Amino acid sequence: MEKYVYLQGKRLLRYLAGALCVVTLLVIGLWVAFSVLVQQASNAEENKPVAVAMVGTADDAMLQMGLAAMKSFDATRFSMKLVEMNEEEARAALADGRVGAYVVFPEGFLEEAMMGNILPLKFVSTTGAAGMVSVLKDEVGAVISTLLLESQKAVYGMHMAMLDENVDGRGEKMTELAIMYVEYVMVRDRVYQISSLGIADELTLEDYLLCGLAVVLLHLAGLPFAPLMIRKDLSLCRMLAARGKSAIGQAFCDLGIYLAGMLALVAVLLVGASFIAELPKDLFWVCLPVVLLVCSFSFMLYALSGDLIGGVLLQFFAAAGMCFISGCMYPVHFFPVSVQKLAAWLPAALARSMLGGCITGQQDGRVCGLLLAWCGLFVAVGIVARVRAVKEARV
Amino acid sequence: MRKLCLWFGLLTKRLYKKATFVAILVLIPVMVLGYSAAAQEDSGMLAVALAQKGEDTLAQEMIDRLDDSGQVFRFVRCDSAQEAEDLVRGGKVDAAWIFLEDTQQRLERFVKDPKGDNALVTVLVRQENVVQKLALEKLGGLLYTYCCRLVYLDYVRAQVPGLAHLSDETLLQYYEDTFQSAELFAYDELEGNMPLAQDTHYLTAPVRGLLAVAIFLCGMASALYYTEDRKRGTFGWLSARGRPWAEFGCQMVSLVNVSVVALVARMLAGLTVDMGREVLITLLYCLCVAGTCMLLRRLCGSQRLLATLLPVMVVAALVLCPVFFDIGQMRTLQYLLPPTFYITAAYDGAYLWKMVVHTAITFGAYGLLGAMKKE
Repeated sequence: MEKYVYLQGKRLLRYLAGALCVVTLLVIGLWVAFSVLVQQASNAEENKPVAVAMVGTADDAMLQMGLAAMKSFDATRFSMKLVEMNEEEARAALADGRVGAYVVFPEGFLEEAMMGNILPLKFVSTTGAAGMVSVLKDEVGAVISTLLLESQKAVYGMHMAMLDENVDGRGEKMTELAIMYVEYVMVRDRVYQISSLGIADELTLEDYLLCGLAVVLLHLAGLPFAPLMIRKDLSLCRMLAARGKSAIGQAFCDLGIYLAGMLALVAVLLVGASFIAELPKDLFWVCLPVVLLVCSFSFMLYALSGDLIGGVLLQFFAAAGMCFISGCMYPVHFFPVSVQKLAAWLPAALARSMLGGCITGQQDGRVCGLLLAWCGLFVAVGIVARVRAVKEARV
Repeated sequence: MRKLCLWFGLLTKRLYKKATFVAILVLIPVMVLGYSAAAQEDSGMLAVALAQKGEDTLAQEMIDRLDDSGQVFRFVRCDSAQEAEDLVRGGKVDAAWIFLEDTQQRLERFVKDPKGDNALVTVLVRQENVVQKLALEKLGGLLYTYCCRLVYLDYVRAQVPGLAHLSDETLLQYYEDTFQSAELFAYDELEGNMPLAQDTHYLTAPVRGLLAVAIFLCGMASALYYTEDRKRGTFGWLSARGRPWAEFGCQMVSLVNVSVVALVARMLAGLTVDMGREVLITLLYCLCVAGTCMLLRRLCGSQRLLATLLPVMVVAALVLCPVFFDIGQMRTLQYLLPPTFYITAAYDGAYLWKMVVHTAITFGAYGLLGAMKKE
């Protein structure tokens, strides 16, 4: 058996450099994904995820003032970047993805508003399903509508009452009330007080996504090892089995070599990452059960698939599907409660929790136990499939 | 034509003997219908616990008015402030909005002194982010509607003596009757865009993109199978001119099978646009993926390099193409990857033509490379 381990070890070395190159490219790809996801949800002043172009404001001094006030004082400045453009520029910017939407103020919008007529603003976005604007546009629109329409209802309600009762000084009173409302709009964030509980035992969104994407990366990092794990020609295994080296023992050897290869990759990645950021001291040891899970999961799939290409496809589809449901790509609370309950038991979600525990410093023994139970199950199924394949090959 | 059908049948039979391929064909509708079913359930990007301290009818009215019919927020009604706080601390919800006792009096105090310390609601959050900010805007908007009425009544009472004889109810009636059905925004699509047949839910929004990537992945797998066939000399009996057609046939057989299953699955889940358009997009996309994968196969040469490239290409497609998010600044790179066309052509007709151009370029390059390599 030692000779078999030696042979597999030599094969592993042949694949290791290629695997490292692939993993480096995957890290770059997933890092871009992480940056975009974090930027979309970030609260930082310089990182506004929603850029909206304003069209038709340039020639109107009042609208210019309003826009300047919104950019400087209003609460929306934290989530939206407002840029002025003409319609042609805005259309091009929207098509290029430089802005998420543009709003067209119709000519004479303010004059008509002064007369009590609300001319609808044209809110133009792409039909594209991806991106924050498509999801948030109804909510953003509803909030702005509420603020403007409620104020206008009051101003013009008073105007109508004064008109019906023949009360003079309507223009002056309307202006006074409108200015008063502008003040209330500006301080609307004082109607609530925010108390931040801190992240405590929970992760920040950035840390959560980092852990989730690390699990995805580990699953994909197993793909370059597929040629090592999937043997089309089982004659060597058959011969070893005939000489008393059981198929189970061979399978454990394969798994051990695969695990060693993955751990070597993880070690290299961690050493590389330590030059960029400060890593938790016990990260490698926390990664150990996670890597074991990933290895046993792909070991099972490779054993079930039988051929290289099928194995790669199966591994990719199964890993991507599981990671998505487990909340490795989206925060899990985006899903309905029933999916969240299911996700809590899935191996990818447990692996994410395990890595998360490394950041919060609170490891849950139950998570580790469940993770190891999954590993046991995957290894058992993989070994059964492997033994059957060797037996069938023998016939 | 008979010969073509025979080839198609034989290649399909060969494909269906691969258990993994059949498993993927089964997985696709399961995944699509699963997403669709999940989207029907109560979900939201931000879960907010709602509670009030003490018993207050105004606070209860405000809570009842909070609407979670959209897909951004999911409100969880709690019996006590402590329960709401526990949900936040336990990570079960993202925030809690606790309406304080004596809401009416607090609102009146806020109207009299808006810059003072007269908050009506305590907002507990674990972490602030953009959706949280938007949620606060929603809360601010709700409270503003109540505040607006009070400001109006106060102002009229204090500043317009000519209306002093009118009761509060009459004055509020004027308020309610104004702009009853006014819409501030008229939503429109970018010129050339077509509206989708149904509202996109954020859970089902990536389905089209994920399927596009899956079809692309199957194209890559077909290219891998073909390199194996070449090694074995499966198509060695064909003339040099005939072999690219065999490769094209192998590609199209797997792509058409997967695409049809993907299309039917989306149709069953109600995630399709106009059917005729979908069929056209699917057909063009199969050609586009076939061209790209055949070119990649020729560029890579070896099965090992192609297999190594597979996960990288898939991650690149997931990140660069507008599957989960749209990196607008990387349009040029997006054009290199076929899933971009499948996703965007659904609502932007220009992308159908771009897909045709992409296909023509890849097949042209494939032919040129073949001539150079004398393959």
